[in-house]
Amino acid sequence: MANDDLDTEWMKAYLLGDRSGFDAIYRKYSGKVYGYLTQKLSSKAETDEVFQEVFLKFHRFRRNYDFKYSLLQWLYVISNTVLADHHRKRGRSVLTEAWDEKFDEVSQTDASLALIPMESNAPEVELSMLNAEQQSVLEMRVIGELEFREIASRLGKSEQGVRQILSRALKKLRAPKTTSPRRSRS
Amino acid sequence: MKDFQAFSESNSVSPPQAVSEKILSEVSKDLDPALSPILFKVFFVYLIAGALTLLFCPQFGINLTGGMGLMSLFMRLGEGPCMLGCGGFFMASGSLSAALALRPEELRKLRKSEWLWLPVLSLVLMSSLVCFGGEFLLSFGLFWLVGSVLGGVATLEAGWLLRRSAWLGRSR
Repeated sequence: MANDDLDTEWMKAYLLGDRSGFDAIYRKYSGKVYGYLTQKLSSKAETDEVFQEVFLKFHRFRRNYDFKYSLLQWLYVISNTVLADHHRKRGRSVLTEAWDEKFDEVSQTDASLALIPMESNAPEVELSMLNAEQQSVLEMRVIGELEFREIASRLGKSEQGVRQILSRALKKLRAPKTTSPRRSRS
Repeated sequence: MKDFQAFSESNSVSPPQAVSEKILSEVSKDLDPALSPILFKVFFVYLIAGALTLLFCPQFGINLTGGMGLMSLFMRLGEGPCMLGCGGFFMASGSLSAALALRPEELRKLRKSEWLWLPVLSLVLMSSLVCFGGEFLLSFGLFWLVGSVLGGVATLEAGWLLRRSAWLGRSR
């Protein structure tokens, strides 16, 4: 049986309440998720906490799984969502290097994001100037790499509404707030 | 996409045993619920659904359909088959309601021992009917019991198949 077929069988069994389905998925993917999180987080305690939340979220939202995506993609999206929540919960006003790296990558394909000015000596974006909704949209778009359609469905808003929130967030971020020299990322 | 590639190619690192145990135990608690609370819940589902079927039974004086209702249909086949049909109808309504009301893990748990708890539940419910004035001769009572168990199991299985496709279909 092909790898994906096996994943589908496990997921179906799991959705029908069979614990062995979850066990098999956990055995196969827990190491990969944990390995990924160790790269993204600095401390072991944080990694353990986020890792646990990733799989518990995977379990809580199991019925949202869409069979057209692979389990690996689904776990990737959940991992990044939990990572983003983790950073937000910890009250970080600036995003980590991981976010920044991600930002660089996405900005290459999303022209509007590329226009955010960045401080040359501190390549981090001040998120504290955004409200919770704007932060959330920006993180989902940049870290979670979600489509506008997906963000809109998560927030219960229209695509147009999400675009507006993002646009306002970007406007705020673009506005110079210090006298230090700035540069545009492109 | 670069990040997804990094994710898919990231080295596998075993999570700490304690964390794994915590996750697996949380999930297990949810996916492997204890049978007794489910049975307690199910008892009331069968009781309410069964009581609603009495609306069609002339024996209990709440026959809304007029005449002999369903009973006249079953009686054409004789008294034994009539009791078989009544028992089946009574428990099938409960099984269908349970299949519609329960979560997949609960229904799965129930199905594992349906041949054990359904006869007991049938007996308990039949006794309740006797208490409320139902007339059961021993031989016909046996027909009712057999009918109720067969009807209950068959409908629970049909309900499971129905819900199964809905649960898997809902995951798009």
